[in-house]
Amino acid sequence: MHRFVIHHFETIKSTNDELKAWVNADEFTVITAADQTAGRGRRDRSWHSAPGDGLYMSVLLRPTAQPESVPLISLLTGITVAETLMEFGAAGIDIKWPNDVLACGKKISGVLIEGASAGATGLRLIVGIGVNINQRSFPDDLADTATSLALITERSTPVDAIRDALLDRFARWYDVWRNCGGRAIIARYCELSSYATGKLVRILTDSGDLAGETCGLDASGALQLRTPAGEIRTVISGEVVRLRENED
Amino acid sequence: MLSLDEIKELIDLVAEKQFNEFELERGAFRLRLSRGVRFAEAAAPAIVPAAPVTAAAPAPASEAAAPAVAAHSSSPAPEESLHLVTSPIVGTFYRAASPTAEPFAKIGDPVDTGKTLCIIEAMKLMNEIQSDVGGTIARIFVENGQPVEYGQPLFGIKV
Repeated sequence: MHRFVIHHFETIKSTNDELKAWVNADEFTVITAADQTAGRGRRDRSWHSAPGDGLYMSVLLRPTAQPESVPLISLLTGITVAETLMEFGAAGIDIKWPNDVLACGKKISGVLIEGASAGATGLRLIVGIGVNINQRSFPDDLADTATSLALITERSTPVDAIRDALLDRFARWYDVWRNCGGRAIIARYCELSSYATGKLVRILTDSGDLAGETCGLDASGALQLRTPAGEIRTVISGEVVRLRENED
Repeated sequence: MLSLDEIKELIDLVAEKQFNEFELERGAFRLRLSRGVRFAEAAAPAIVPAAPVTAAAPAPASEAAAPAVAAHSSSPAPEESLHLVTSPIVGTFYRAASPTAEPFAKIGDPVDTGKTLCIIEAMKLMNEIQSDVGGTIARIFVENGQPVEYGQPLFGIKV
């Protein structure tokens, strides 16, 4: 088992930003914080961090595999969070591609992975994970879309217990990725995610939107989308929004 | 999209301030002005397989161009002295940290080794691409939000 070395802060701007600044840190260095004053998500969106009620954590990886297989770490992180929450009794767990974890249709966890590399060598990955654990309510603007483990299970859970279980699972899935490649990860992902196949979605990107029905993942983990014209498109990035049956 | 008068004002301003190059991007609209004398230096390297990314300036800009400043769409031409920064992964190219943020690097910017030039996103893995040389940004080969392939040139840096 990997030796995670955990550094805990009471208040920090962002665990990802802090760990990114530790340029010489070893693989499996972990930063956690009780509170983040500037937690971030994809494309610099803010992440709401309720002091003491959530897990806000970043893990440093230094993967040496082929660059094209590295994005699978994005999927295995989603699997890790989903399985951990199920272990602690959460029902209705789903993964929205690539790695937002939902409970009963609301977001319970978000992941932001940041990599820095000069050329193709010396890749450092900062895997940022936020999990809503003991929040009993959310600000008005998040109330309809966010939930927590406490709201789902109707009981409190120690944040450290989630942290340890999550790191334990993360290490195991990371070893699967390093030793066995992507097939097992994609198979497990498709078991856990209702978004992998048969979901009507819209993909929002900086350069336009694309609607269609999901039809699995390719070997790299990219989402396959069948457009209304019957064309199969490969989605590498974008925000996935679920469509109702009667929307186009 | 800018009005003709606004474009004229910009050209005057760029000429007055003696900029060699000026680039403006608002959503899908992109305008690039550069002095004629710089045109050859800023041309794309011959090995670039992708189409040049600098969009053609709207026709009114050409009509309004002052003698010293010409709006143009750059076209590929041999260029030997540029160092190419290529994409290490397949993904989506972003010039800035967020849709509203300033680009990490613009044409004409001096850069040091290790300076972040862009982000390539693959499945919410945001990969910061850093310069592996010091120099000046001479070319940007990809539009914001566009997909890139492994090994595709992203930036041309005049070392």
